[in-house]
Amino acid sequence: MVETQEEENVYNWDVMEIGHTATPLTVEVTKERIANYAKSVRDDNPIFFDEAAAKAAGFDGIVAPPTMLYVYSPMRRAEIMNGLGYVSPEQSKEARSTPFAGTEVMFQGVPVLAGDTITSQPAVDRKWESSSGNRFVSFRIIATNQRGEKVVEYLYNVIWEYAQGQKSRNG
Amino acid sequence: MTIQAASVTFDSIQVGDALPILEKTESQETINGYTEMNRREDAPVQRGANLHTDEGYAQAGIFAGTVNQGVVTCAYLYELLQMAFPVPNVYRSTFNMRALEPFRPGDVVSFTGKVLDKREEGGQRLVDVEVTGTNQLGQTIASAKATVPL
Repeated sequence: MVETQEEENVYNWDVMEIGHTATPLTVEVTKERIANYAKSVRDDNPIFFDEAAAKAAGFDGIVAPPTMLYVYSPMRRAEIMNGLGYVSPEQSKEARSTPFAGTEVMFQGVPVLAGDTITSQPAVDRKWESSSGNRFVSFRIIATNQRGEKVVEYLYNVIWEYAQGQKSRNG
Repeated sequence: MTIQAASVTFDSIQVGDALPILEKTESQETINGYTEMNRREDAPVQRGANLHTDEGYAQAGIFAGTVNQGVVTCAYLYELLQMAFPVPNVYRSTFNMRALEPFRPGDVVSFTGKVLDKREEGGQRLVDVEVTGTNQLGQTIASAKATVPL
């Protein structure tokens, strides 16, 4: 197992450093993308589809659902690892998952509207081990719009490794 | 009292007030649909195992089956916030969520919430709420605390 990981150069706990990052990503937030996102989470609020409804709600145009942040400013953990010359645990021959554990979102009062262009960059923010031995990693993503205004900053936490013999998500 | 986005005000809110109830289900189709409908055309080719859409891999994995994307559970918790507060206010909120149990295909999850506190701080009127998702087995699958300026 260790030899396989070394041959593959799998990103691991020991090489992980705070600040490891990927290149910035720019995404155009179109009406179509907003509609697709809203449909994919089955949220039929008309402000995500209809300009008049959005304006009646106080926006200048069709607005993105708040949690579309995970689409227009994605966490991109594999790209961080690939950019450093590693494969992610999910990509390895001995594939294993690093499941979602939680998130912390700080909106900035700047709604994302159709036509906006969002640039984001993720980075390893923190790694820690719980009292039960599970290992966690937190990625911080900061997203700005075409005017340079920060629209959202969020943390995306994953369970990096379970303590031996433990399968629960609880830390 | 149950607070509603169309009528909520800072003065009308009381600690202990409930948020509306939102019920959601997942199927393998809805889980796959999230991935397919939000794929970036310019994204690098996806390689590797996927806990959400690769049923064979997931069956042998830690959850013994596929589960939804955790960020979709976040979307449901935020939809509940949007039912209780105007979306412009939600766009000024903070949110701290912890995933506790998987949301599997076939599960039925009820999302509920309550007001924990209301306070004035730094010139802002803030409402603290707790929102949770509970599956048909009575398990809390996710819990979050949010602060919404009102």
